Amino acid sequence: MNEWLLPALFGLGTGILSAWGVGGGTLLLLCMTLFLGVDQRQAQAINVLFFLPTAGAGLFFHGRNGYLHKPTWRGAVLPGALAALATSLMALRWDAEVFRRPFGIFLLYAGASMLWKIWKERKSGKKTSEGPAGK
Amino acid sequence: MPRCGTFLLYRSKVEVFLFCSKGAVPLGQNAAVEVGRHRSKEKNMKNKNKIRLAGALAGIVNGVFGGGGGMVLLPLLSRWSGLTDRRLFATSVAVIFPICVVSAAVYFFRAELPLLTALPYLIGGAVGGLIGGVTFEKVPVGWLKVIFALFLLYGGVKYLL
Repeated sequence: MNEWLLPALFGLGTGILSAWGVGGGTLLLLCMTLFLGVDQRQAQAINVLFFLPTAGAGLFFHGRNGYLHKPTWRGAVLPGALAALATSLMALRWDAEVFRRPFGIFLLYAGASMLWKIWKERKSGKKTSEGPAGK
Repeated sequence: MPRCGTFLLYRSKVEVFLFCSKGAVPLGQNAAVEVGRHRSKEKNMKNKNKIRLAGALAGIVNGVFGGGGGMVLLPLLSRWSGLTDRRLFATSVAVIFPICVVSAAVYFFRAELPLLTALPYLIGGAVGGLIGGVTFEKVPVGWLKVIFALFLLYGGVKYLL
């Protein structure tokens, strides 16, 4: 039972975050490798597969509510898909641990930058949130 | 060469030239409008290239690490696309989706995709995705950004340890 229950619960929580676009997929990867003892390569494969139904379900509502910006999507999706194809093929030839440290440094920089920006916006009194009417 | 949109006095009459990367283009009476349109076009092209770059970087990260593409894409699109917060999140999800399709296909055809092991995660994720989609509008975006930033820091520490 635990073999199914824990993964399903972790999937549920990160699925919600993924639909909100809050990096839920990376959280699941970390949970699998750090708490559930899943092999790194296997966790990466599950992580990639995991995002598909969660994003699909979330996108249904995002599209219906008019939140998708098609010009931006069109601009980013093809380069992204091609880059993912090339690097996925390359990464499977190398040890995943090779890229761990550079990615960790990037995450720290990205998180710190975002918190800094939020802090500056709040200090200047600029509104950072908008309600449903502010689409 | 003068900057794009420079107005130039030439001899006894005012001739307006639009200097740009393609050379000098003489303009008529609607010079100011044409300059404005041209500058807007060049800026849009620069933004499009930046958005393409953001997509490519997200694809690289997702391809190498099997995840994290959204963490790259979201800050870059936030800076380069000019989208509002909810549209930014939703559009980022829409970009990462096909990127993950490609990565999943590569893992599948390389026989490294453990479908049975992944099944409980997928079921939970699908339910979570529905819940997240329904509740997206009800979640304060400010808190989303704080949660996301803290999560980036958490992820960074874990990757370095």
